Amino acid sequence: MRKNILSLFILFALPGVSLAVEAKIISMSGNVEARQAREGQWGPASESMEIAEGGAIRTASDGAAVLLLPNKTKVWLKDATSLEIEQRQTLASRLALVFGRIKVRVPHLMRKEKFEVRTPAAVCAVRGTEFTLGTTEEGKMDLQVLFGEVKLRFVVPPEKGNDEFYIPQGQGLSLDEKGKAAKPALLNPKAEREALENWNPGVKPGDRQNDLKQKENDRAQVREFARVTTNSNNEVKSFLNVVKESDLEAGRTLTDVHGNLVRVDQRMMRPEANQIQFFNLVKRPTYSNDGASVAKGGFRYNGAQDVVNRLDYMQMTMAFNKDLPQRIEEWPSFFNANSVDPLWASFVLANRTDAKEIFFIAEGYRKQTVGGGTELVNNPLVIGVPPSTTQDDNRNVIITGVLQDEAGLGGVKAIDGLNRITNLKVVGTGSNGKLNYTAGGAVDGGLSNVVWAIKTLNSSSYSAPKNAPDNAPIAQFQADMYLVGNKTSGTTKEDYLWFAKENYVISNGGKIRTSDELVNSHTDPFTLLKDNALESVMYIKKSTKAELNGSLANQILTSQDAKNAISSQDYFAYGVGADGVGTNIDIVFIPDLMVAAVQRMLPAITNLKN
Amino acid sequence: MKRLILTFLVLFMVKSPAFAKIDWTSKGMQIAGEIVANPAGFFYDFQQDLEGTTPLPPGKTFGIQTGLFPTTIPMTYTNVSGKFRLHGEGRIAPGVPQVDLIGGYFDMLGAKLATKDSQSIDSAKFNGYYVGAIASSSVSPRVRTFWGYKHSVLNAELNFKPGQEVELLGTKVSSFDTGFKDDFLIVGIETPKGVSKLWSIQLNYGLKTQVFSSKVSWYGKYFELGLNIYPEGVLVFHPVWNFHLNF
Repeated sequence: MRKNILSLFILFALPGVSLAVEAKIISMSGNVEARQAREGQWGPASESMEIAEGGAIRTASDGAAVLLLPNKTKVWLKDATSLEIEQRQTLASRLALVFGRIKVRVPHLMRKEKFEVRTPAAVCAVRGTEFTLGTTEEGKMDLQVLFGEVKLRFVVPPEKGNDEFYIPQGQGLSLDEKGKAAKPALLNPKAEREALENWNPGVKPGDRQNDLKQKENDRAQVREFARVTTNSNNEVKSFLNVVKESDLEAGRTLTDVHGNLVRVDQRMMRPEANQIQFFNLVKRPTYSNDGASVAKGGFRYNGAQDVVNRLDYMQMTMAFNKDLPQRIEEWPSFFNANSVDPLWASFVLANRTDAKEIFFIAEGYRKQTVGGGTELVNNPLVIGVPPSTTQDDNRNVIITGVLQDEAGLGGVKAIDGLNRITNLKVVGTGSNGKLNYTAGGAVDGGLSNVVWAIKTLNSSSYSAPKNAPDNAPIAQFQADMYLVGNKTSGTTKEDYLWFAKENYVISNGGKIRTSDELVNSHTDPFTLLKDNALESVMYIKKSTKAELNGSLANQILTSQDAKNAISSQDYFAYGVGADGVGTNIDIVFIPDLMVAAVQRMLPAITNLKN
Repeated sequence: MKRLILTFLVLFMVKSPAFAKIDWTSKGMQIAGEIVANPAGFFYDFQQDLEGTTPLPPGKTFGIQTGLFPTTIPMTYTNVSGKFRLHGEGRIAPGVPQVDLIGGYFDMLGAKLATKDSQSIDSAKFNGYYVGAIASSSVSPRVRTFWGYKHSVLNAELNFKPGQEVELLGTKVSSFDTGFKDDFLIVGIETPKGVSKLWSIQLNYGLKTQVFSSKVSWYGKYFELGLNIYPEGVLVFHPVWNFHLNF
């Protein structure tokens, strides 16, 4: 039984084996003759005729044929061509082109399988290659490699030059005479077209390049499409540049440290021709602050919960002695070529949820003579208060309070008042830190409560934590003590206030980052900056102590002393809140626009520093 | 020769007005600002200069490459890249493209040297690598298109000496570990301009950074001359000179 099965298998397998070992004519036209074996006679060829090792095929001046070898190699023979199958074995095949012209496509060879084509002058070894080859019986030959690579070796080495070349696709070689030197050269378009044209038998010479022409048409269309796309692309680019130049802005939606949804919008603009203004608007649909930071060393929020449409902002304004160019790109050369000096600058932080009642903290800077030169300085002179004879007045000054729409005819609206303070159009009166607008009336018109205050000279500031480990959340609490007005020394705690800040580095999801996540992020700074933001929650708190209050034990000498001196009550009442119940300013700052601005304006900034 | 003289003449004539228009001090400071704002991006552009992202020439099995300018000189990026042909075009079946594996590594010597005498920096590592694959297919005997993918990583690590740590909002920072990481799609076209002389143009697109860059290269048996263009980089044009050998 086993014998029978084996015999049947062999019977089925045999035809396949016999089919697989011989070359076969798969197409022909005109007069074609074949010699089916080495010892055979030439006779008329026919389609599907098999030619064994040693056999040959030749075409007359009107003939053409296509031969398929068992390894799927196709050989096209043009007219007046003679080709012999010299060797046909599993791992080695060699064709001999006696004269004429052939095209060979070797699609795939097994590992270690050799395929060669010999002419009277050279042997071409190929692997996964398509090429055309022409020769005369005297040895004049030409080779065009269409795809892959051909290794060509001259049968008769030339006196000069190499006798072996590796010729890659797109190149060819022409040999005028056996034994003469020749070098590969790039295919010229004519030779390339002739090699690529349709070599199938029966195709009229005029139709051979139809496919190529069609492909060229297709390519021309693709090129045209690419050209149109490039033009559109350029138009979009130039449009984007115009947009970029006309306005610098950025925005991001994220979650703050308290879990509130926040939309941050930044814009750089020029309110006047000689001014630059930078806005960081922070909008929240609802604002809550559960005071979770208090236990960790933060400050108490006494304001209302679930505040609807909360709006906080940070605004920086700088005025120069000259008008600035319209385009920011021109600023570097403008600052370099002109003597441009800043005249003043202001830095305003505000809770502007209610336009009629605004809680704010502002700092002003004016151009002053310091040492041998001039620079922007923040001190009492900014608000026109003359230097004190008893204290060093080069200390920070803030203007803070709650502005309200003042009643009556000519009463200054809160928003107008804040604009005047932004433009430093206020002067200190010297009395209890009260201020007047430079153009008419007191800032406190009956409803508002605004003071200016100067940083205390001797008290320590509060700062925590210190030397936190790398994996600790970056949450820093800081507070500085300020003396209301420019008093020589305060006597009561009511003369003091604390400018308290909670600073957090947060992710877009509101998670407080650790320094390890920032500095060992393994990502580039641009990506890092886009994923992070800085949140600063600011309060003006009452003080439980005066600066130099009695015995040494009561003085504020350490950060812990300072912490103890900061009241949980707010200095300014806000809304319907009673005394000590105010609000805060909660800014989320994204670095996106600042990075772009610093990049573009670094020369200007450097010049300003100079 | 006449052509050469004419070219120089035109270059000299163009030089004066062109230089007069540019405010080099401002430009320099602007460039410094852009580097400060995104140092990793700036240094990564030089890594791209040494990355070999063209396919191996037909018939070649593997190749090695090292970037000479502006990588080794003056950036001190000692580097080596390699290519290995996984599949020759049409090998398995007609139409199946050539597939090359590409990869390389660089280490910046300058970073190490700079920290040697530093009072505050203990050590600095600045290196990068890339890996990828390029497929190439001939559309005609003299035109090859190629497309591929590469994953590029740049590492920058700075360690401070004990007691010299930087403070960040109350936290001591003893080391900085930053860098650049992105996946790129590559598409290009290659054509020979002579025997063993090829010209190629390619476009790289960073999937994460969403930034395009392009490379125009002329290369022969041993050297590659190129002009890399980074439209959003600090230095938009990088002239490039690389050495390579293909076997």
